[in-house]
Amino acid sequence: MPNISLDYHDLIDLIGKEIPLEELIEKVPMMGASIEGVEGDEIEIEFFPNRPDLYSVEGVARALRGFFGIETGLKTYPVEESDVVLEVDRSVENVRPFIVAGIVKNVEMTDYLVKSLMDVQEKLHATLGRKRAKVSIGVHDFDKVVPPYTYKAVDPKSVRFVPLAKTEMMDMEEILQKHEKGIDYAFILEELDMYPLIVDKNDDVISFPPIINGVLTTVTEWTRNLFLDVTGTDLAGCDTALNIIATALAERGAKLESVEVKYHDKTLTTPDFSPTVKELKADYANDWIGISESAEQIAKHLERMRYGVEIKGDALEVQIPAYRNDVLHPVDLTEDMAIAFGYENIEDNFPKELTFGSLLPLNDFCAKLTDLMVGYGYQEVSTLTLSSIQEQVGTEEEDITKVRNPITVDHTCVRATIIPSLLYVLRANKHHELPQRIFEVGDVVKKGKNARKLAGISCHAKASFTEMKSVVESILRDVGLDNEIKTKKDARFLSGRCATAVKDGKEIGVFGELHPELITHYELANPTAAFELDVLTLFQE
Amino acid sequence: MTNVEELIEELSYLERKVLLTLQDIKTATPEMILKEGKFKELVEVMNASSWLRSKNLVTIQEKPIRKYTLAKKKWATKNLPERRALKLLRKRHGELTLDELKNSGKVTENEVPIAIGWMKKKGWATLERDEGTTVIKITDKGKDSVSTVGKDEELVRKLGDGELTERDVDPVVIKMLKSRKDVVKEKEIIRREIGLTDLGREALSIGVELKEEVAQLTPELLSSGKWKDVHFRRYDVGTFAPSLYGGKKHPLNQYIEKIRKVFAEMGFTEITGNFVELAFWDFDALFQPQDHPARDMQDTFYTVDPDTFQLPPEELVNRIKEMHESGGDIGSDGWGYDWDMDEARQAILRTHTTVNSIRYLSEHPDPPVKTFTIGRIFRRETITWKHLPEFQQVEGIVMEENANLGMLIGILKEFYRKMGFEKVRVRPAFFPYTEPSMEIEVYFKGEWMELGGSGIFRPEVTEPFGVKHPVLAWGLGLERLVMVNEGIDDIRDIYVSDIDWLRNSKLPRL
Repeated sequence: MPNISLDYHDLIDLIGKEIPLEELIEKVPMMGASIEGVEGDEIEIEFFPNRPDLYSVEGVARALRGFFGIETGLKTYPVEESDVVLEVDRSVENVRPFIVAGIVKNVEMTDYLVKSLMDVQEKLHATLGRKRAKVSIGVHDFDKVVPPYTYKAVDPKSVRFVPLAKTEMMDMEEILQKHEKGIDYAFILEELDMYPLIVDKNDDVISFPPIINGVLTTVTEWTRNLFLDVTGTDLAGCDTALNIIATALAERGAKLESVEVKYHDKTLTTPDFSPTVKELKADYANDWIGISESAEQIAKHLERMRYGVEIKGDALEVQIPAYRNDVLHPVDLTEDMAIAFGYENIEDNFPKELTFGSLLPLNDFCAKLTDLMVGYGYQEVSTLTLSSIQEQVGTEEEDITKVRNPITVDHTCVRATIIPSLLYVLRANKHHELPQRIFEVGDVVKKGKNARKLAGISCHAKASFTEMKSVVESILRDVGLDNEIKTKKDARFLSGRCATAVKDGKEIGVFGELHPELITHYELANPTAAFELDVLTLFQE
Repeated sequence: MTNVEELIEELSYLERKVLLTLQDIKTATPEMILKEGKFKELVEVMNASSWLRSKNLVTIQEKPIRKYTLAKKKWATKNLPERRALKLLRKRHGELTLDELKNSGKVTENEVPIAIGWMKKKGWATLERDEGTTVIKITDKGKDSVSTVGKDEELVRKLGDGELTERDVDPVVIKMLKSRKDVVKEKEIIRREIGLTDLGREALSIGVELKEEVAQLTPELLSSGKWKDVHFRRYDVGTFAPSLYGGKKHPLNQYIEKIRKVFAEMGFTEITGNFVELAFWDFDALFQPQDHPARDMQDTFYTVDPDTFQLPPEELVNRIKEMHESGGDIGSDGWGYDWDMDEARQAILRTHTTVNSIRYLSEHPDPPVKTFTIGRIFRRETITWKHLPEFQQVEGIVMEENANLGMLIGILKEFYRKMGFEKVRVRPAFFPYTEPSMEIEVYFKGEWMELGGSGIFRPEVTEPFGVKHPVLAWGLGLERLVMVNEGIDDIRDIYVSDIDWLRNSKLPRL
């Protein structure tokens, strides 16, 4: 989840009212964030991934003003119309179909603003933007280019320009191979023949989204006016990102102007801050949370969360700010109402309906098997079920559930047998005192289905087939079975010292002396005997 | 019994023997007690005496004492140089030149000045110079001394018989001998003297009996009845005894058993499921959009054999599809993208136990429902001290008419109280399929600590299954609970356990 770091003084300036640091630290978590650390004036806060509008200090200040009751209700930002036009060429339809844009004037490039702008851009790219694949943002010096602009898809070899932070001309292919950002984000353009590009009236390159801007529009400390472009595969996502950045800049006193974005079938004037409207019924909100607030009180709570509210009888018409993209259903408004109400103020209650508890008999039986094994002097262990394919000797390869995207060679499948897990524990303890007798009752997976097994292992100078036979026969006796023991072939065990118990013609497991090859493979220096039994078979009388 | 009688009763054989020996000789060194009491070894006396001292029955005084021996063995048989010179002087009728003494063979060259010096000091002779020759002349005292033995010589003789302590020697004489080179050697030792205390004397006056002592009770002693006449040796209870290491339950599973019990007490039904799941149930049914990062190959394990599963009936699949694309008909916007059936078919290792809960709800849409599940879940994480790709999740859900967030908080408080956490609080959080979502914090060892997440299932999650009432849910990571309670700071220790740690693990107070 994204962490953002805020400067206390900057935050207080933006809030416009002195709030002691201690109070902030206490209240911010109650708003839906967690304080990760405070160092001097730097506050590190983790905000939730559904609230990208809180990834900037300006957005946080806006929310805090509401939460603390300093300024409540829907915040409006004036947007003046400009005559700047951005043409969207149909060539981008199958490349990166959407673009929105905006102009920000009279920007004072303070250190605080530059840091905040870079941070929010980076965070939006990582989260909402899905590593720029879904949404990416470009920030430009507006005065360096001449409208109208064109957004189009071009042959990567056909255009050469100097990308940001470089001094030499490159074509778009070269940028993907040589430029740091090109290398990082080339994956987004894989399988495309044409790449997206934004140029100005003179065909000067503004941006090669979602990779890199042209050096021409580099923003410096002398920049006063900004041009923002947001491109992507999801128009709503692009709008949200533009709205978050534009309103953040407006919070610092900049003036916003719109851009006419002309698609072949529609024209959008962006940024567009018109709120969406949802109806919230007071009863619904109260019942969901378990409180009984009046419509007026609910309206007050929502206004503190920066919604606009109109009361219509028992329902509330809620205007949702354009920088929020997380309100899908009245339940989302209900949550915000509850946050403003304060979770600590909710009276707790208990379920009203009587239910009788019940435990899974097989799990109870496993607990009893554990008692038996402990009684025999075996130490219980708990091991990972992720294992490696090579270790599943004795199971057909197609029965093993393999991991398609493993992280390590040790975890290429889910185990089909527990014995390798136990050997793994013995290897980790090879320098400890012997004898070592350990067991596990746990799950294995075959053909995608779980099965419960009981397995044990004994390692010491005199570990033998007989020792395992004693254990297995004792278990069978103690669970009330009396089974025939038959020789079994299993490559993990010494031939002729491996057997199984049979129930109704079905083998219920395996036991015996492990093969020296296996023992030494796990770096053990003593004879080792093991068993594994199917728990469900033991359970069924 | 009085205190003293009790004290006597508890005395061991050797302690009794020391006390009884002291009754006769009062104060004595350990060596004397060894001899008088006919002990086998000095260590018996020393041990018994120190036990008696700890019971305030004897005192052991320790004082430094000087001991003397001859510096050279020859002094046991050989006269001191001045005595040899005196004898020669007497033989020569009271007069002798220095050269004569030197050449006499009675004293060595080194001893000449010593002999002359000491004869003068003892007043046995005088020196006179006569025309360049030094003449030694005997005095009257010298004549008298020829037939008597000096005190210093007497002491040298005695030392020749063995070492003497400072108590046995005249301090003036020993000082005189010490002033000479190579005659006596002095060393300091600690001398112990063991004596009865008042309590010791009281004990003896009451009566201390010496009985035959037996170490091990035997079947023979039991059957013969002889056990009545013997005294069982008292053991030092502090003596080492070997530890027992049988089998033990793993701490993790002890917690699982406890949690199962807590849920059962609260009226919950235990449910379970498979590790390998459909993405449909793990993600789509929980309204997780298909482009959500959690569904990436980066974060979730996808499987081969099986690669895909058959989806549930088409009608249900369509309801989920609609919910994702447009929010169905429940007043939700949905996610606004084209939902892909092939994504939903993928087989994965389940990423949460919530998949069990939603499957159960799909089959039991009518209230009331109270279920729980404890099981392994899988996340594509690299193994570190903090993370494993596989761990245990505990999850409970409650669905009933009029369930609400306040009810969830009430249940949480009771659940965590039963787990040993008296104070519980919640604060806003975000989880993709609950709204509201709450972080759970418990008060532990003086501070608030996150220990779980909770919330109410979104309507987009429950509606497609015909679940018409709020579903309250909460979950926690079992390992974290075990780690904070048992003081483990590396999660790997739980799964690749050090066998000594397991053997020495203490019983969790659950």
